[in-house]
Parts: sequence; structure tokens; C-alpha cells
Amino acid sequence: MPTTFPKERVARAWFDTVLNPLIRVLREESRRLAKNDFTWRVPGRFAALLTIREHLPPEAGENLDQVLKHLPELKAKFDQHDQGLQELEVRVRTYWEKLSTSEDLASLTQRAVLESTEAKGLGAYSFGYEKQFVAYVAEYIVNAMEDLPSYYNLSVPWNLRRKEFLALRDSQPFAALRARAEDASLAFRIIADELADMLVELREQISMELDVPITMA
Amino acid sequence: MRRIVVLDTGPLLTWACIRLLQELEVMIGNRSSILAEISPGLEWTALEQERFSDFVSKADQRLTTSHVVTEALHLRPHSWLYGKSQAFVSRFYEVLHETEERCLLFKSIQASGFGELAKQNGITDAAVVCLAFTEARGRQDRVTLLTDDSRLFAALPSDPSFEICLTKHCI
Repeated sequence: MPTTFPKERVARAWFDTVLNPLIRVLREESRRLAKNDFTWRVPGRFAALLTIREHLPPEAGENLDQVLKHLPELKAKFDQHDQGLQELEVRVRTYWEKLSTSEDLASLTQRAVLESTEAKGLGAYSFGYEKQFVAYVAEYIVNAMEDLPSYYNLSVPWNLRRKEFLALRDSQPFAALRARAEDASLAFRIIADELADMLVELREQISMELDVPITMA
Repeated sequence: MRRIVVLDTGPLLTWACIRLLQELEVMIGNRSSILAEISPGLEWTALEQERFSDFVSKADQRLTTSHVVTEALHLRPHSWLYGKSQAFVSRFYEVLHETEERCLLFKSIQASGFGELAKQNGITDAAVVCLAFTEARGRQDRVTLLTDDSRLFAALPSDPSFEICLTKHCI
């Protein structure tokens, strides 16, 4: 924790551009991962899990550098967050790619799509089975999706067969890959929570010491 | 295959703003900070401006909603664009001329199943997402919903019929 404090105006800038936004996004990362929502998206990236620097706009980058210069103990924690994210990405990608290329998932998807087309007529879904759908269903499985809203093209097959799709997670080789992804997710959540707590504590100390409000509504 | 771009508020404003900056011959170095006022979090070097303009202007069709148009014209007081609002509005109308504007009423948005999204993200987001889905449905065209809104991006799972793309991903 800080041995030297910034002055009031600098503290305000740290709060507004670095500490408050980071606390918010770290809590959000943790909240999503607690629900097993990796926010994975085709063609292969996280939608809401980012590195510390990517979470902030470039114009906040210099304030972030200043925070790190004066509070070097944060750097190790930020690095830990980013390394945890990298590890998580590798494991989630492997899990998603394995599902995307799985014959079992392809045939289950094809069956569900054809069955939905017959059951529902044209409806929202009107252009037959395509091989690329498997990657999308794999995304929904990886993110443990609930029912899809009706406007999604794969909503009928997904919602009808969701339990079967999700059950694939418990069969090999997916169960092992899922476990590896969830281990990395848990480790990452712990880091995100600890980091958020650390930033809250730091913010509190600076706020009380300098009489600077945490937010200026 | 035709390429269709559905524009959310940030990208529509950015496109019109780039036109204005070119016309006023604002120095390249200054353009970056002006564009960052519209899309915080992006670095707008000359290369990014060119890539963005190409991505939007070379599409076969550009679409937006009347909600987006209305939101885009609420310029932020004290911003650079606000100071140039008269000149900006003419450029804005110029890009609107090259963009097809659709008016989606709340009842039709709701009837299409987007009522829940409207509750969570607001009617402007729901309308623009509804437009992208409707436009992509049953067509072989490549439809891209372009937005700066990372919250909207994170809220939507992928769909095989169209892609939702953050501006930073297309530049």
C-alpha cells in the first residue's frame, strides 16, 4: 500500500481513469466466470475478458503507468492477471476447437437442425444445415448458454436439444478439456477478486487520506 | 456475395466526422484526438482512419435505424464536433444519403422477440440488433453489425447469419 500519496487532482484522475474502471471490470470478469460464461465468441476470442491495459482506453494508459510507477507492488498482480488470462484463453480455445471439430457434435447438430426445420417449418430458421453451425453450437456449449432468444437462427435446435448438447461436456475427451478450462477459470477468478479487493483497499486509503471522494456523481 | 454493414451510433458518427475532417483539411495529428472523443479507447492513426472509411464506404449497402440517427445527432457539449455542429450536420446528412435508414417501431421490435434486449440495453441497441438479424435472415449476404459498444458486444452470443464487430476489430 502507498507510502507516499498523490495530491488531490492526481488522485481524482487515478480514481476516474484507472481504479474505478478496473474495479468494475474485474468484478464483471469474476461474475461472468462464476456462471461459467467464458464470453467466448466465434471466430475465437473473449468478448469481455481482456488484459488490464485493454480494459482501459489508450488515453488512460499514461495514468496507469503513473499508478504503477508509484505503486510498483500492483504490477506483479496486474501481470498475474494477464498471464492468467493468457492461460485461460489457451485452454478455452483448445476446448472450443475440439468441440468444433467433433464428429459427435456435428452429427448431433445436424440432427437437431433438420428436426427443427421439420418441426417448425421455415420459421426463423430457413436455410438448412451448414457445417459452420458446429462452431457456433460449440461456442454455446463452452459458455454454458441458457436458452437462446427466438431471433437466433439456431435457437430452435439449441433450445430443443440444449441438455444433450451440454451433456457432451461430460463425455471424453471434452470433460478433461473442460476441467482444464475450469481450473484456469477458477485460478483467474481468484486473481481478479484479489486484485479488485486490493484496488478497493488502495482507493479507500487514498480517498480517506486526501479527502477525495471515490466518485464524483 | 454482397457485403452489408449495419451502423450503430459510434461508427455512423465516426464516418461522418472523418468526412468533415478531410474536408476541413484538419492536420492528421489532430484528427486522432477528435475521433477519440467519439470512440474512446481507439487510437486513430491515418491508417486506422483509412481502414475504417474503406470498411464502411466499400460495403455494398449501409443500413442504420432512425433511433441511431437521433442518438448520433445529440452531440456532446464542449466536444470538437459540437463546436462545428453546423458543418458537421451537412456532412452527416451526406453520409445518411449513402445509408439506408429504417424506422423500427417499438411494437415491431417487441413482436420480433427483441423486447427483452430493449429492456436490458435500451431501444436503440435493440432496434439496431433487430435490423441486423432481420436483414441477415435467409440471405446469403455477409451482414456485419458495426458498433463501439463493448457492453452490447459482450451481451450477444454469436449467430451464423451475421457478425457483430467492434470498430477496433475492423481497423
